[in-house]
Amino acid sequence: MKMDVPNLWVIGIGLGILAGVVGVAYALFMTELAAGTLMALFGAPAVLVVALLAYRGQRRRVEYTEQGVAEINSSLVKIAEGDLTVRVPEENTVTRDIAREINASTQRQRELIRNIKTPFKVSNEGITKIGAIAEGQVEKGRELTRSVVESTTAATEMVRTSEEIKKSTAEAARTSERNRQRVAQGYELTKDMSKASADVRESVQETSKSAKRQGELIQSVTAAAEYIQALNTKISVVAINTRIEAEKAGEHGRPFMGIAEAIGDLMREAEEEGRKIISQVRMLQNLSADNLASMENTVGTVVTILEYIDRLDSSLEEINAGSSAITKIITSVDDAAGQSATTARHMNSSMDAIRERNLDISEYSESTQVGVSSLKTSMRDVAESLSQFKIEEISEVERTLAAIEELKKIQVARKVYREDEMKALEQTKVSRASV
Amino acid sequence: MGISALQSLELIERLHAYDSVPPPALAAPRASWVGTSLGVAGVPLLIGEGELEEIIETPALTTIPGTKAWVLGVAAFKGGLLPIFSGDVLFRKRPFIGRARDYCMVIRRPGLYFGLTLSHIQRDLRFPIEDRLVDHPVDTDFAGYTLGGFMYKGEFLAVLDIEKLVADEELSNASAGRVSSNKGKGNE
Repeated sequence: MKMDVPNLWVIGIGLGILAGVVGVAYALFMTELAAGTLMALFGAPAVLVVALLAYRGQRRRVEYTEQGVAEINSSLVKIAEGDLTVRVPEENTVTRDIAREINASTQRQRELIRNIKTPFKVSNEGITKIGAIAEGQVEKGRELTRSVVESTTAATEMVRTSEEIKKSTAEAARTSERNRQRVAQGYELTKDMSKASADVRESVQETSKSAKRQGELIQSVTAAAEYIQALNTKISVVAINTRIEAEKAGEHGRPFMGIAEAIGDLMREAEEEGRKIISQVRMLQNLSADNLASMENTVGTVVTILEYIDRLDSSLEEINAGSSAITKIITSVDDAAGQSATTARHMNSSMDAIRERNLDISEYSESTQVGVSSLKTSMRDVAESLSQFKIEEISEVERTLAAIEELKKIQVARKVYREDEMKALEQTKVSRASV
Repeated sequence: MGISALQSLELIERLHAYDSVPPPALAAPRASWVGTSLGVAGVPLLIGEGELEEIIETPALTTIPGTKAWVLGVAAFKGGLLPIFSGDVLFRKRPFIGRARDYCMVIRRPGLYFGLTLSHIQRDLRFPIEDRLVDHPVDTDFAGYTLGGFMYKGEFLAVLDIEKLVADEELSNASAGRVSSNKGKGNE
């Protein structure tokens, strides 16, 4: 036990008093003194010593008490600062009960705070999860809003496409109708062409008959011309023989010579004309034959044209049937486009409703998020307040780890939208189209 | 007072004399070549005046066995017999396939009297003698029997020299020898 300076003084004073008493007693043995003197000599110091001892004891008791009170005060100061880990020493007998009560009280406070902290931590974690879920809901709501906007845009585009399809089908229907009318006109034209070709064939056949008759006449003319030519040759022979005989007759044959030469001159002209006639008749015959062949070719061509007309007629009928089928297809496409447009409009309306509901959900989620944030702030404040109550001694290492864990709990923002972006997302109106 | 016709004529004569206009000279009489235009085996020829006896239609023929191919036969003519030769076979060495030759010319020479078939007959023609061409190319089958010719309407008419023809040994002997041939006779 460590002794302080006053105790040493008390011991010194006691030892001095004891030494005085011993000295007095020795002096008495050595000298005879009166009883009163002795009593005075011995009683006074004794009383003084007793008084001193009493004072000293009282003083020590006061100091002891003050020490206990100081310890209690110190502990209360720490407790007032929130340090509930303080334990008031219970060695001081004066303040032992108070210390025990204070310790029991702090013990109960620690248990109470511990009992508060544990569910509070659980609640905080739950609120954090709710906040994350609400944030996720907001994000999902925004994504859903974007998807709805895109779907609405797609539906609008679908409506526009359906309208264009309807326009195109209407134009195609008109074109098909025009084609059908033209095919009908072509059909009538083929009938007229067929009739005209038949007339041409009959005319050509009649002309061919006339040409054959003409060829026969030309043949007879040719025969006549050849006969005339043969007669000319005979006359030429007669003229030649006349001249020969006139030569033989000498002077008497001169008149016959003149006659023969005159016949020869006539024959020259007749022969030239006859040759021209024969040549021209032959040319006429060739022309007639060419005409006949041409007419036969014409008849063959007309027959071919009639075959082509028949084929054309069949083709036109097929085209007509094809045009009718195309018209039906166009009509069905038009109906399908109309139904598609109606469906797209319904889908557009549904998308609008979904978008509005989603906006409401987003608003609710945002409100929830705001509330959760506020609650988290409050919980954080409460946690900070509770954390001011030191209920357990924790090491520096544990404190560092706890700080790291707190940092890990901080979530990274998924995406930070600017105010204008959020307004644009919320204020996006679905453009409606009508068919 | 007017002048009379005689005075006018005298005046014209004086004017002509004054102008030294010579009177038109009379053309000298030109020598002409006269002949008959006809054809043998399709070749246009000229036969000179006096070369022909006459031209007759080809008479009915009686074939003569053992004669050459150009001997078509013998016909009764003016109370006698007239041998008829084929101009186509004689000159072309091949028979003519086509219309029968309707006419033939009769040639009479000392020791020879025959008819030669003609492909065509024109008429008698008269040419200036100076227009005769002697170096004009002639059909090779007739080149040995011609003596020049004349151009008539763009066509060359060779003059068939009957003397050369009758002088040919082929024509002087109508006998076929050991190898008898009736080739071509049936077509005439």
